[in-house]
Amino acid sequence: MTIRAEHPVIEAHDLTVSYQRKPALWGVDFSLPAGVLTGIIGPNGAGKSTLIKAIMGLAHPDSGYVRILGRPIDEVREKVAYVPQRGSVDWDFPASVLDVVLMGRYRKRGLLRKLHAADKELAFHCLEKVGMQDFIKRQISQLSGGQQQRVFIARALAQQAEVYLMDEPFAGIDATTEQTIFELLGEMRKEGKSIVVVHHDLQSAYKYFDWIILLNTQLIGSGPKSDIFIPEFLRKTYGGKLNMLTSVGELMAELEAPLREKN
Amino acid sequence: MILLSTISDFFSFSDPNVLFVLAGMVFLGISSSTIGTFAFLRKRSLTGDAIAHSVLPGICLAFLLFDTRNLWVLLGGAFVTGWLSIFLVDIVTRKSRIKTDAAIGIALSVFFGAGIVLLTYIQQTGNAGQSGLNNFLLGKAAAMSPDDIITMMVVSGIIVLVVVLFFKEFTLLAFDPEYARASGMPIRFLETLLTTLTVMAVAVGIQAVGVVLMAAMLITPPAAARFWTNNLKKMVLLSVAFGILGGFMGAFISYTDNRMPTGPWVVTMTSLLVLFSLIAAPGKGLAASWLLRRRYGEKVGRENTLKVLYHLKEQHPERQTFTMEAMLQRRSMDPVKLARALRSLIKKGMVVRQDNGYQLNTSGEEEGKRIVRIHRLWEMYLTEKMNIAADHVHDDAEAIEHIITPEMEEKLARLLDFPDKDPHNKTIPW
Ligand SMILES: Nc1ncnc2c1ncn2[C@@H]1O[C@H](COP(=O)(O)OP(=O)(O)OP(=O)(O)O)[C@@H](O)[C@H]1O
Ligand SMILES: [Mg+2]
Repeated sequence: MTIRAEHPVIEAHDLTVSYQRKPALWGVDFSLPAGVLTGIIGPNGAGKSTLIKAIMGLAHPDSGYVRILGRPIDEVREKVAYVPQRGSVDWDFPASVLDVVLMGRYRKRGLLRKLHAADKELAFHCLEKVGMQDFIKRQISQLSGGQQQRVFIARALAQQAEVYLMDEPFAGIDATTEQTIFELLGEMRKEGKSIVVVHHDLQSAYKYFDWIILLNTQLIGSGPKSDIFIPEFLRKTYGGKLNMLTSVGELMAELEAPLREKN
Repeated sequence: MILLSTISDFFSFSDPNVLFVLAGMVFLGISSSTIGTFAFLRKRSLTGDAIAHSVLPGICLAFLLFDTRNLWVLLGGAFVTGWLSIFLVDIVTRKSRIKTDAAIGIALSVFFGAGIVLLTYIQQTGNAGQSGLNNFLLGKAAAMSPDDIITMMVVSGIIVLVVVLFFKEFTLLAFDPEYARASGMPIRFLETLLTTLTVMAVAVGIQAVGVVLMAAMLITPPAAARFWTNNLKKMVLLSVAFGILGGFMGAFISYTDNRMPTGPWVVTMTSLLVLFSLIAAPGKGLAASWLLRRRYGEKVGRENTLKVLYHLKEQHPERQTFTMEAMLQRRSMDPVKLARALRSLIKKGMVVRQDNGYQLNTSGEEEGKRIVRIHRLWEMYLTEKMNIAADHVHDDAEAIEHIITPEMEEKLARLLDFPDKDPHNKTIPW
């Protein structure tokens, strides 16, 4: 079930993305209203990261397209902030916590330009928001997993974007910090920011998100949580992980059949 | 001494050639270490190796076509084949199932093989100008002409300029390329730029170091520098310093014997710098962690000794001095270590040596009391707050008593409401 938004910030149209011909997303079609906190929910391998990457233009769709703020992603990049999964980088890099958060300012400052004192102040402020201000000088390899994740969130905050896409920002974060950050996201939403979060815990998902996307290769549902967060859809999302679709997908990869007929 | 006079010869610059060589080594260090730092952090060391080996056929072809040893011409040839190999690696990994490391291995051997064939051909035709060409294999710093040095200066100047201009971008590209792409940086352009700079750095370095070992010149200085700092800017500067130092040492050794190629010596020297850093660097180095462990071991030894003396005094309040035998009976310790700990405690003024044994004085008694108190508090904490059986807590407390700071002790005491007996009903001394 897909409930459409009136003036969408993000819209995906018939999005299909595959790795080595095996589809990770199949005909995904939805739209998200502005100023809501959206949760993307689904089991491992459901294509959640792939969806975030496709929205960010980091994964190339076989078919379909994405619009953010009504435009292709390349035209609005400075208004979109991205929080990758923590494991995507090597943390044994010669950089301090402050250095990493300042990376969120690089694009704004651009080539040849130095970062200002104001950037450092903002970075400090963002670290404060995620409760990491005491670690500002710490070498990043000496952080715990949850702390690294919070540094990534702070970096995205430093970008001062309108749309935030976060891939499992709460992985490895303790319950208290999770609550603090969810409250922070709630405040940002009040300021009209749109936030999309990949999340695994169903309980806190229902508590904090306004809008829910249920995903398992196909879109199971997208809409306000009261319409989507119902047993029937949840069962569809999580029950029988190897459903028809996955098996067909594997078969197609084997046969090298095209995902879409050429016309 | 022959060595001394050679050294003074070398550094008095009486031989003008020495000056050129040293200048060349400076530019080599600057260009290869700067760009090498990014290759190292991006884990692209193998790419550097592929480029280094692939420039050989380019140099030979340029020589054959234009019949000159002019460095700019040879660099042009080096540039073409160096780039071509990386381009092919890129295509092969994207269009086939061959993984990057295999593709690099293939490109490296094919290009280097072709280079050796061409080199052999040139040597057999006995072309007069070829005399210096085989220096490109293992490097010959002394063969660099003033023109070559100027070329190296220009190229390293370009490299430094570009790296300074794109420092933020290269940093982000090295740390988190996906985020860089997501925030709209022109990733393809930046990667191409870095590869181009790598080819340039390799091309200017091969005369001094040779194609076979040039990759080590890119990688070893940053690998050594990484041990000393956690700041990228400092790391770049330090690796330049290491690169130059290794270059000087290598050039000097090859100067002492005219038949020796420079490259192997330079690379041996930079590798020694890596080894030295691995051992000596503060914090990360082996020596530092060995020292830290040793110091901690000595502290534990001292504290255990104070504790034993305190226990003995608890047991025999009427006595003041205790012999080493009594201490060893009370607690099994290595006698050598005990003697060492006692010596150190006497020096610190916590223990006094008497005719018939050792005596705690005021500060020693205070310290011994503190250790015993923390030990018993911790046992109390484990049984009371963590629900661990009283007969399981001793070993844990043995380790913890040396770690707990005064602030933690105070917290612990408050948490337990200043108890006066431990779980084994021994008095907690305040
Ligand atoms: N780089 C890749 N190459 C090949 N297959 C991939 C790649 N990345 C993902 N896949 C496949 O695509 C599917 C979707 O992956 P994706 O990472 O989007 O899942 P996810 O929902 O984010 O899972 P998780 O909860 O484990 O993070 C999986 O079946 C996965 O095996
Ligand atoms: Mg994922």
